[in-house]
Amino acid sequence: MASTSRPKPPASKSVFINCPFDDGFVPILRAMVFTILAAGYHPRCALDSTDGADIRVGKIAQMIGECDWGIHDLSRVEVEDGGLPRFNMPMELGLHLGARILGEKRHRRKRALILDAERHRYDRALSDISGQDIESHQNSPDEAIRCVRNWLSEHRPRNAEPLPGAAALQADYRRFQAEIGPLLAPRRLDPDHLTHSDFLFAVSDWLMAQAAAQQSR
Amino acid sequence: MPPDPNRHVVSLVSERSKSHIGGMATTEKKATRTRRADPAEKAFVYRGIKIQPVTGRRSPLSKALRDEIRKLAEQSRGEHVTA
Repeated sequence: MASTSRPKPPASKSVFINCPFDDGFVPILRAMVFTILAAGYHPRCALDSTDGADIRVGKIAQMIGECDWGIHDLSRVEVEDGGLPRFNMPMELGLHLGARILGEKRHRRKRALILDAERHRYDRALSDISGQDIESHQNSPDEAIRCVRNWLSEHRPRNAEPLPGAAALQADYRRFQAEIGPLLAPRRLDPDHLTHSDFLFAVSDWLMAQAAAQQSR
Repeated sequence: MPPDPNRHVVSLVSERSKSHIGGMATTEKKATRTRRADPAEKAFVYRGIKIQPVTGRRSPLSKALRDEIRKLAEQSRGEHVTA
């Protein structure tokens, strides 16, 4: 897919998502993206520019530098057929933490949410990350929404508007899915197979339509 | 009789300068095109949170979906009002 010329949002509102992009993870990724947008932040990930085809570490590092927030999902760091786990996600987490610890002053604002499928699995594999914000989504989109919403809420500035509750966002996401599915069905598409860019626009458009409906009531 | 080569040059110059000067000298107000932002690119408030919409280049599918999402929301709003 060709690169999209998307203006870059401010770092304070940008959330970098470091996660697998395989089909099995799409429901979790989409739930997180929805939550981030509905909370007034901008999700950024490797799919922004290439839909995952040809992303290089330099580009990832630049994106991490442009985001004050980072979500690092380690749930798929497992030993695969070749006898080795995928190291990309822990490496990107390392870049994020390295920027915060060693980078310029502005990088000290960086916040990291580390997600795993099971609680305390990291104790065995990556114990150095103890002390960070670590949550478990149990491979459930609803749990992923709760984790991301609560983490964003916890670190919001004191004078910022409170975020909607996790249950409200979970219900909104279900409504979004229920409404977007029938719009795609006549085109023989399903929401999980929208490109990342089309999904971002669909969520944004849907939220805007809901906002207009709320205003008119 | 061969044409005077200078005549052609002179006429070209005068045509250009005429249109240029004509444009400058006019007292008519120039029609300026104001570029209005697409409503889909404006910030909005949802559940009390200000949301900056996603910007960038849309695919044809995304444009079609945007129109259908709006239509759907308007329909359900109409049903809500009449109910």
